[in-house]
Amino acid sequence: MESSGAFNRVRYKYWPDRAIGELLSKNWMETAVPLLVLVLVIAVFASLVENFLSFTSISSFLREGSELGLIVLGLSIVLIVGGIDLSVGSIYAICNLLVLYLVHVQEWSAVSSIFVTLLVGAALGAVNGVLIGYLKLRAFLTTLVTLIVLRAIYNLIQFKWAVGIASTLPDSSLWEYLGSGKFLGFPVATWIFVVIAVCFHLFLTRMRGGWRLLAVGGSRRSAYNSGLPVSSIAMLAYVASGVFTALAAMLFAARVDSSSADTGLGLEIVVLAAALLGGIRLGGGKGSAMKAVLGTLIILIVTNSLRGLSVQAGFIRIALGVIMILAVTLDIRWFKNRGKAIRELYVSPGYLPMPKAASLSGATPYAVNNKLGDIELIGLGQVESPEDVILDVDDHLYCGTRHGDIMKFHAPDYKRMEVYAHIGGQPLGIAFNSNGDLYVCVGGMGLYKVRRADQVVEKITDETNRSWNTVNDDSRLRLADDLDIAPDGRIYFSEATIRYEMSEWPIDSLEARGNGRIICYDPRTRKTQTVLKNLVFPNGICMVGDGQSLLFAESWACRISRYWFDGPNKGQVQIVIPDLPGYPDNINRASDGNFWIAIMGMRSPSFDLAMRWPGFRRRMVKRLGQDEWLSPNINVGCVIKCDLSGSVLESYWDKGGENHPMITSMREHKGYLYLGGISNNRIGRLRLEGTDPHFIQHPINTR
Amino acid sequence: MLDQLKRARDRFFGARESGTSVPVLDGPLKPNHLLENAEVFFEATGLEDLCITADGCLMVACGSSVLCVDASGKSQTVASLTEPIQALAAYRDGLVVATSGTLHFIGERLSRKLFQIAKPPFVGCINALCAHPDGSIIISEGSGRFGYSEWTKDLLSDGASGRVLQYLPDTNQLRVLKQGLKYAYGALVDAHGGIYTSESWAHRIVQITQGNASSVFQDMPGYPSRLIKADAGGYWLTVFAPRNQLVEFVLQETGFKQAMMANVDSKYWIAPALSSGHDFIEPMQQGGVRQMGVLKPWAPARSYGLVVRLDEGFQPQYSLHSRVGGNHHGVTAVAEFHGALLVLSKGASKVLRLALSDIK
Repeated sequence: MESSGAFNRVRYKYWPDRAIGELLSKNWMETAVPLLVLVLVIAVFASLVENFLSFTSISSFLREGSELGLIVLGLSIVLIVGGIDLSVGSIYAICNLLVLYLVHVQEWSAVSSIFVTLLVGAALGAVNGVLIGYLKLRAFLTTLVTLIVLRAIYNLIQFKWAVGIASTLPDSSLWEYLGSGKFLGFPVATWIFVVIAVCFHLFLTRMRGGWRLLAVGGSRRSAYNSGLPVSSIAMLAYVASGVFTALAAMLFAARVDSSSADTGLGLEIVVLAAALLGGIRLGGGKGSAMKAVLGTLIILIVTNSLRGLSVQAGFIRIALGVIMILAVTLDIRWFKNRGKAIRELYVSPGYLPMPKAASLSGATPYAVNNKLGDIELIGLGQVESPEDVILDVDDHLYCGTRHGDIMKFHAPDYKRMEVYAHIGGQPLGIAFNSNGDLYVCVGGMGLYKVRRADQVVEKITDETNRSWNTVNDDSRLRLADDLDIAPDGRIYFSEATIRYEMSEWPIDSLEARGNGRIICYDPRTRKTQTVLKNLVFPNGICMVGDGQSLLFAESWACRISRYWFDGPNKGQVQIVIPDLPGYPDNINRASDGNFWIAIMGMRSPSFDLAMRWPGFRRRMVKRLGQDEWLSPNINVGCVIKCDLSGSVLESYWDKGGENHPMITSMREHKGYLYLGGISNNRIGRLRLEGTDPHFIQHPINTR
Repeated sequence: MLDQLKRARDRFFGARESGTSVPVLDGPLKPNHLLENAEVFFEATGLEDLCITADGCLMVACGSSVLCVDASGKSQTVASLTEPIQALAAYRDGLVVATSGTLHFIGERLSRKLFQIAKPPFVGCINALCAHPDGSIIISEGSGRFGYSEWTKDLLSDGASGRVLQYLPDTNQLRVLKQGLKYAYGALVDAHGGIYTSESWAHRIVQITQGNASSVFQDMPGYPSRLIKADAGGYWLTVFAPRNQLVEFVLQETGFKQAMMANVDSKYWIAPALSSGHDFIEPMQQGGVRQMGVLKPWAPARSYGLVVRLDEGFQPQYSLHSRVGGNHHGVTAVAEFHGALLVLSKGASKVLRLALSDIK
């Protein structure tokens, strides 16, 4: 199946692997998933249950939902600090009974009854809190014990008080209003819940206390080390849970006005399922009001609808249990390993049929030789990662290093070295403009300039126009790679990939997708504009010399193309060399009017084959560590020379890859060829026979 | 289909067959540079196997001839055959030599006797011989489908057609002791007459008893090959190629594997090799990219040099290594000769010499 080219081409061109991976890596996806589930649940049950959307059903649903939602909020606080509270059902029952007793039997006013009930809820929560927060008992066992003990107490007093409660009716308008009143068409209970949920959201996201809760849940030890009172925060979380539960119990009492033996029985399972389904992590440190609300709504719709379909209570319990298992599985398999899962999903290999590579046999211009085998080395062990090299009119040599510097080697012997400018990010392609200012593409930063006069580093641009059809914001430059400057001063530079950072560029080789682009910066308007998109790792850029077109290399596609940015052919792209035997990097002009192309590594047949097997590469990325992934062979490279029509004239090799492995750039200057490589610790220098001894690639305009 | 389901199951529950993990080189297998730094004793193209004859001469199989090499490294051709030799062993006061499918006896009593094992059209894949004290010869045959040089193809085809055979020259009888082995490579008879072979693709050494194969040493980090007895007790084992996570992964990728075998030259397959790093068309892994001119020693390896010293219970005692980026890879044979260990690196086509007193 997978080997059939046509299927793969279509499958990997149109199926949005990339968009899915990028979507899932968004933070708001954690809330979007329960929202999606909610919509699905509503859609399913709205079609199954009669009167699902009728006004009365919604009204009673909202009352019930507010009560449940309050408990879920309370439990969320506990879950966020990394605990669990199983005793909510029993606290709920006791508070419910207590407030009824006070209002009905003792005939207290509603306000004082509610106040006392909330206090009792807080006190019961505090029992859990002290045991868990200060005595460091296990949350699960402790609350399981309080669940049982409080339930037993409830059963004892319920038996005593039930008759009294049932035989009297309270005479309180506030009590009645709480139970059945409406405000702006919605139940009062719902308004209370909404206000509390909004406050809870603000508290959690905007206030110190909320941040502390998240900090303690995220990493208890770090929170402790940074001076947070971890024990008391944990205790207060249980107190809050108790208060929220008491509030819910009070609202329930006002609505139903009676108590029964099974009040709050099994409530903890419902509440826990709601919280987990909303995406509140069992492990702590994650959660929001929105998630609690979504989880509550889902659970409520499911249980109510099943009841509406007259499903037996036992089956509803089973359904809840199944939902909870699913939620826990999701919790473990997705949220816990989210980073890994996203990484696996983020890499989305494409289908790239490679043309047959040009032959390297003896009779071709690619014939392997050892011309670079024993060339002179400059700065051996002193520079690391000189991706590009360049020389000025006075023959001084410049290169970037991975420490974020531009180094300068002084002519004529290139023994003396100094830091010419410190940029901070890794310099890649470099070019002089006509004033002698040095323009630098900096990986992860964008396009920068080093002024000739005082070596001050200036940012030229770090963003371009955003594409309308991408999930990720692609306006920021991630991997500006090489540049050249048109005669009119416009700077054309390549951005190798918009999906990976500087250190991750090898991953892009496994995607083999059109992730790169060519961007133009116009110094007159100071505008940056993307001119070509969907290129396969565009790398070297070189002006052809006609003022209208440039050559660019696409590394993973192993081809060189010509792009007209002006003139009658404006906008056209023509492939010049379609079948390089290796991965092209920088392109530069040669003294004889031809072009030098650095080949950073050679194609291997197995890797070429893998380019036609995107599924193979995707599984490889999932199942192996990065060091084990298949890679383009970039330990041996060469330099070739070609003319504008694309015929390759000659090649220079370091056969063993010992002296100068991985060549990413070369620069001809006054009869010598200088070589740079991004994984090298040296610069090579080769004497070129029979070339113009005065050739300079970037002459300074003496005008 | 069943395999796919099994793999899906294993992936869900983690590890087992779906795993691509490889045992690490640790404990007695901790890497060193003994093999890489060893003195080169003898060099010739086409080196294949070593043995010491009853009268203490070193015999080397090299191409289609058998050479007798003295302690100074001078060689002299003892016999020439028409086909490349794949294995040899001392037998009585002479030698028994195997080409792809035929045994040749060289020496006094049975001289010029031939015995053909392979049944045409299959050419045969004999890769090790060992004389049994009862006068028979134990033979290991790697594959029933692919010739000796096509061992990577057998690996990538999930080969399980290796055999261990017993030949009785006196009666001209051939017995199959065990078949269906995942590449039998090596033949050994211990002091009690127990018969052992390496099951390369299963990464283990097995004892063959009455048609059964039972592990005596398993979960090796490489593909084991020939075994010999050490004079001081215990055994020497050669490991001719390392296991590699990418290869373990490719072995599970049936479609890709077949496409690769069909379209790519076997030298450039994603498969273990006897030597590597000399051709820039070979597949490479990201950890193998040279950084600042240095190939990291932990880079994933396609080839490796490893000789393991085993005790009487086949447990590893210590080992000799030639690591990633080294030259003395693809070790297929060892012999003890004049107080030294001779190691045949087929990858480098060299015989190395290490004084036994230096390597413990």
